[in-house]
Amino acid sequence: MSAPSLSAIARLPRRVGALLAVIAVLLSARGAGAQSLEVHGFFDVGATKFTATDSFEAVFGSSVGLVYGGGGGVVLPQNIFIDARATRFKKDGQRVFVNDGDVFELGITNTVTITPFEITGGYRFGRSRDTVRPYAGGGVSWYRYEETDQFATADERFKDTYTGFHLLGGAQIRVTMWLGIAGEAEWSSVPNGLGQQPGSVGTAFDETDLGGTTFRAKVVIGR
Amino acid sequence: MRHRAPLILGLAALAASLVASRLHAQSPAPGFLRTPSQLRALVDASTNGGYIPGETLVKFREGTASADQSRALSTLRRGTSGTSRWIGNDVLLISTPDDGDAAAIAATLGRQPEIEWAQPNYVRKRKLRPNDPAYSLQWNLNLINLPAAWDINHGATANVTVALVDSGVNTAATTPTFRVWTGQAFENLAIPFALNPDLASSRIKAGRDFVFWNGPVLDMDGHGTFVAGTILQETNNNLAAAGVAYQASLLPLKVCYGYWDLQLLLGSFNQPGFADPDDAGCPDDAIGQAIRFAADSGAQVINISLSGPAAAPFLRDALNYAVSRGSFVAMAVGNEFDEGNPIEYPAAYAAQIDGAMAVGAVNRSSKRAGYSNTGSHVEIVAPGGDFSDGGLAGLVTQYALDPGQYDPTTVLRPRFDRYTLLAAEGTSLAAPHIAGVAAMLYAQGITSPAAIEAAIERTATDLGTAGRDSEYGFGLVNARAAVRGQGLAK
Repeated sequence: MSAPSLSAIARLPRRVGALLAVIAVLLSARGAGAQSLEVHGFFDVGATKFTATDSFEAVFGSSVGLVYGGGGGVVLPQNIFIDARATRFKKDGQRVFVNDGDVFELGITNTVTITPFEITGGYRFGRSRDTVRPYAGGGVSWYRYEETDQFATADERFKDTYTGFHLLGGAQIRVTMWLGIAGEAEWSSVPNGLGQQPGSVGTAFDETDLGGTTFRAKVVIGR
Repeated sequence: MRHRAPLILGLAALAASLVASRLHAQSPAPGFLRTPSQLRALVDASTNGGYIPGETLVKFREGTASADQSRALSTLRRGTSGTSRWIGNDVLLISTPDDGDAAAIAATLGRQPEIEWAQPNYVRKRKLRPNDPAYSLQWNLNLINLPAAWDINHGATANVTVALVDSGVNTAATTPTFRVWTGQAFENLAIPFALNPDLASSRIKAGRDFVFWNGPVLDMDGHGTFVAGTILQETNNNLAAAGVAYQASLLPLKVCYGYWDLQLLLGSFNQPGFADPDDAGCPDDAIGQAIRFAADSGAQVINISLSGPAAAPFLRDALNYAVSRGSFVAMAVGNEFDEGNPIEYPAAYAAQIDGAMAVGAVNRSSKRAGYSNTGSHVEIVAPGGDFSDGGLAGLVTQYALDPGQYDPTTVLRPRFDRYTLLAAEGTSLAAPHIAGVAAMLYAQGITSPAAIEAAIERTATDLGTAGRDSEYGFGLVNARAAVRGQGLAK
């Protein structure tokens, strides 16, 4: 077994595969002479405060959750950057019953997995030789949502994908020529990501947005 | 020749050392079949697509050589390591702790020509199907999705008490002597009573008699015993029939007198003659006291399978008191649809009380039973049986007092120590389904009467006209959906 099998590649999300292909093309373009094109990859970890505060607190006991992920992108000569990022939130809570705002915990372990995939375009301030470069941008996101519980049958497991948008800003500090760190804040909105299913906690609290505010730290490799 | 020792997958040399150490470190303790990590994986299966992470079952085609088996396994992605063991002669269980995605592994292996099939090691959920012999007759339990609810909640707990405001339940094995008129003379007659063998005595509280005497609660009518059976009859005990909240406790409160209650009272006062078999009844004073007594005794659920056409503020106030003390109340709406469909009380009060429900009856086809009253106060329906829909098979079956032993038209010397499978119909039998589900909900964590009502209503299966209607209320109770509650998005 000297190389990954086709099946292993097939397990990667299609969008990630497409992103890798785009990066590969850009890298090859750089090699061909597009000297001012900068390419980077990154991984990050942070915390999201979800907009649907009551719903998340009911199920998880907190509306804040750990998120982690990574991605990559390019910076065009005009300081315009395009990034793609995949992140993940996964947390165990419990199923509940909400009546007139009162939350009754049922002791049934409930697991929610949210996998946002984001495309961000923005502007990076300063020059490439600057140590600190602020940036800001916005874009579109797709949220893969999965929910199951310890007793769920196949029919009772829930999966769906929602479209949202986001705005973000931060600053990157260059540590070495090819390594940087960044702090970033992001606000996202995923209208109708919750509260669409009758009998859900989101419906009970009339909370429909799956987005939130995220603060994260990034390690950036490349320029 | 097949491998009989654990297979090493992936990068052989590295994996071999890892596997050797893991096998040593993770061997199950003596007497146990799984290691802690394997147990953890089993638990994780519920949130992992229903299969044990990293466990795949593989069947090789007949006659596949060992070398070809290894070739097929080598198609797993780079770095995969793990162990395997044979199950029987032809199925290999592969464990890949580094790669939990057994569905993908099975898909990869399933495409290899040497492999007949490959599948994740799924974990099945038990679907409790009680072994009570008469369970197969109890269509009513399946109709409300109860077996699937029992997978989550095993019929409440003994800490949850259901008060039964009815004709009583035998709470003692006793043979009191009563003075009985036999037609020509009085006779001192020892009348035997026995506990229902399908109702565990440990779950039956002493209760209280509000209409007959100060002695132990005894049922001389049969109605209370039948209703109690639907609520919490012993289940999965290889005897008779099943009940809804089969681990809950029962607080029997006798508020109704039947023919024999009257007859024995008459005899005790030296009054010759026979009572009218139709003179049975349940006075408001007894009902109201019993409701309050139930609440004061800490009963979380009260079942009232009796009704009448006259409004009764006494009962209304008692209901409000009980709900304010934390008791949920299920009440039958009445069986008089063909007699003018009167509004019956106390069920009619339920519409104004969050935490009390008026319960109508459906047949096994999920249609309103012909006798079941309708009206804007109907909030929910549950199985009540209907002879016109399937004959005897369409009735509700429980293990109850044998009426052949105390039928006033044929028996002079009754006994209440014989039980038999009995089939019946009525909204009296619909209400205890709701009481039982309410007990399960309380045990699951919904401790407010209003919330219990809301949970039952919101998870009901809508029947009839879309939305709430006067025939079915919010619809047919769905025990599984009610007990499972709400998730974040669904």
